[in-house]
Amino acid sequence: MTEQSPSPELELEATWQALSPWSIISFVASVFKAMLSNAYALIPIFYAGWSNDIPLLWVIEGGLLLLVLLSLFAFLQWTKFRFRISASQLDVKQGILFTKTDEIPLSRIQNIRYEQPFYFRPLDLATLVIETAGSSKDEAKLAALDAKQAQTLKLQLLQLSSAKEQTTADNIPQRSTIDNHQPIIKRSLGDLILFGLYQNNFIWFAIIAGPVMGQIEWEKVAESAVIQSIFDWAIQVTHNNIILQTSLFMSLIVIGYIVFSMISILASVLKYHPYSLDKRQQTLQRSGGVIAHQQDALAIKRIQLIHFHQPLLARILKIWTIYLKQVKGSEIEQKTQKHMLIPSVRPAEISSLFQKLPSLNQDEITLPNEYHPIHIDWFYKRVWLPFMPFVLLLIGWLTTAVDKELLVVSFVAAMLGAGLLFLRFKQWGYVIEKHAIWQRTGLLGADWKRIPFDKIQHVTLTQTASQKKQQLAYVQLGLASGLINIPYIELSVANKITARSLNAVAKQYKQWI
Amino acid sequence: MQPTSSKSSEQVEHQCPIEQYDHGSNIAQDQFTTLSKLSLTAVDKNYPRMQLIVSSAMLATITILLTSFLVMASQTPLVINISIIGAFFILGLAIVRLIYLQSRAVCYGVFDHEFIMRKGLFWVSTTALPYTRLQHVNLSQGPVERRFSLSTLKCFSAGSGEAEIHLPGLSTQTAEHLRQHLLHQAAETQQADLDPED
Repeated sequence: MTEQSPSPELELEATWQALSPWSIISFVASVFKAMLSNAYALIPIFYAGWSNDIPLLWVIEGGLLLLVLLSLFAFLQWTKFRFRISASQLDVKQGILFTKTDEIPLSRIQNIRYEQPFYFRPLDLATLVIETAGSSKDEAKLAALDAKQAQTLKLQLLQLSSAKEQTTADNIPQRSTIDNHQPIIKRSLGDLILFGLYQNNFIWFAIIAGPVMGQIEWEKVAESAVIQSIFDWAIQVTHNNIILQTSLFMSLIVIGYIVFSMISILASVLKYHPYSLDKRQQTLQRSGGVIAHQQDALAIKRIQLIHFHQPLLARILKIWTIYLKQVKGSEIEQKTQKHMLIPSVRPAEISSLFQKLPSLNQDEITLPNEYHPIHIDWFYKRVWLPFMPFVLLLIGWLTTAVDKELLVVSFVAAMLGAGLLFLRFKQWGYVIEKHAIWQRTGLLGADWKRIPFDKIQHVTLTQTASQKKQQLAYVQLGLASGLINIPYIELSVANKITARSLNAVAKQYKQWI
Repeated sequence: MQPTSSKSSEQVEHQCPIEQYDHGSNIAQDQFTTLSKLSLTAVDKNYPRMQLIVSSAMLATITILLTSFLVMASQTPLVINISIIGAFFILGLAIVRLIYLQSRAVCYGVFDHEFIMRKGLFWVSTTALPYTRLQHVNLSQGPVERRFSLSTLKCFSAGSGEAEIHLPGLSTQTAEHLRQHLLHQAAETQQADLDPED
């Protein structure tokens, strides 16, 4: 390798280095954070403990014991942890009983995350998380580095990989502009609040809350004085009027929804504010975070597909979330499997946003205005399914005694199911462009996925006998970020898609992940 | 003797229309064979046989277990028992037949730039995996497959943990050749496009 300027750090760091002892804190904190973020699973345990009168002292002692054991474990881990960076690779050695050494070639680094949790801020320390394409669990974490050192290390790791790129790809030399940031997009506080608002999933709360609600003895709760007085108040206010009661109930739901929106907004602001996305050489960097400052870096060529997502509320507001999807299993935030995202993007911003990322595609990226629908048979082949329970119940009703109300409920449910299915059908579609194909899906919200032909890994064409007769086919496009299905399209279109993908991929080899 | 005979045959050929070749009409682009219509090679004959034997053996075992259970443990009359077993056996036979037919439907093709595999009885699906996107190839052989000297070939590309191409029922020799060929192709496409210019 011909180095343009062998930086002094590079030679220093060719020897094995230990982390600063502060990293012990980071380890303990990350375990606690993981426990807290799964805390809803602990609620039943706490509830059981509470109802069985386990003394508080035990809980505190248990917690302390856990903390001591964790710290001991973290200390042992710290004594064994070593890393070194050479010109072409990063080595990480760790493990208490079994020593594990990871050798990561710099060109294989998918993305690097720079994190500064609040407890590191006064000490000016930071953590680097390095993710590679490969098995998902093998990420290297360099905790509690000096913040400046972390930044230079990050540049070293990223820039070496991009410098290599340039020597092989023979691009325009950008050596002189090594430190140039090109801002891609910034999001204001208002945008992030909007993002939190429309991204809020009340349904998830219901799913999590369901089992917890089941554990509470409602009768006892209802007998308690506070609830009784509220109940009395409610009856007094509504005068047993059914309309007023339902409206009270509805407003309770609305209040619940608002509370959840507030939590979601708070989470979004704390995580992303002040959001900014920059381009530095051939990498994208997102930074932000109120409590824990976080910086994600990702090589642009690693982006497999662009996913425009729009839940119902965002559809009304006419804004989109953009996900930049990478190889499956090497997402920016591995634990939550989140891709790099841009919140609250207005349709007018899309084209200028992608103009700043020319390497992502040759031609302009804008959301298509309309799409080709899939064949109506997709709907006909499925519409009988929701009616099955109704038909079975009907047979039961005709022969033996089945509750008539049940019959009505199943019919309404079937109609609702059929309606949703039709909605889903209406939203299915595709658009074929010169270099990419768009897949359109959605139920109440809407999704657009842009699949560049040259990122496709395999194509599968499936036909049933009846589809063959009607000249229809299913197309499945395999990407490193996952599978994309386009069902019930005309065979000629399916063949066109196949031909374009194979033409883009089969004859030229280019590193695509 | 010999030279004269060859000479005469040449003269005969000159007079024959064999020297001229009728290419037929030039095939237009929209007449190119499409993915779903490509003719492919079937897998080894032993594979359907193996599937038939294995599934029949399983059916026989389950039927025997069911029979012994019904005879020993249940109080139902003999006629009902026999009809249950009979119905089960017929259903089982139908499934065995489907498994057999399905295993005969598996076929594959090695092309210039991609590997193609087709399978399925009701849902006929054809998968094309270009060599440029081939990450690794895996060859495996289970104990039953070993008896029939068959192997299973799996081709992976990046991202998903599961194989894009899962091709059972290759004779061990073919499978090994195929593996070599695929790896060679994959390496060659990388070499060819990485070495020169841009």
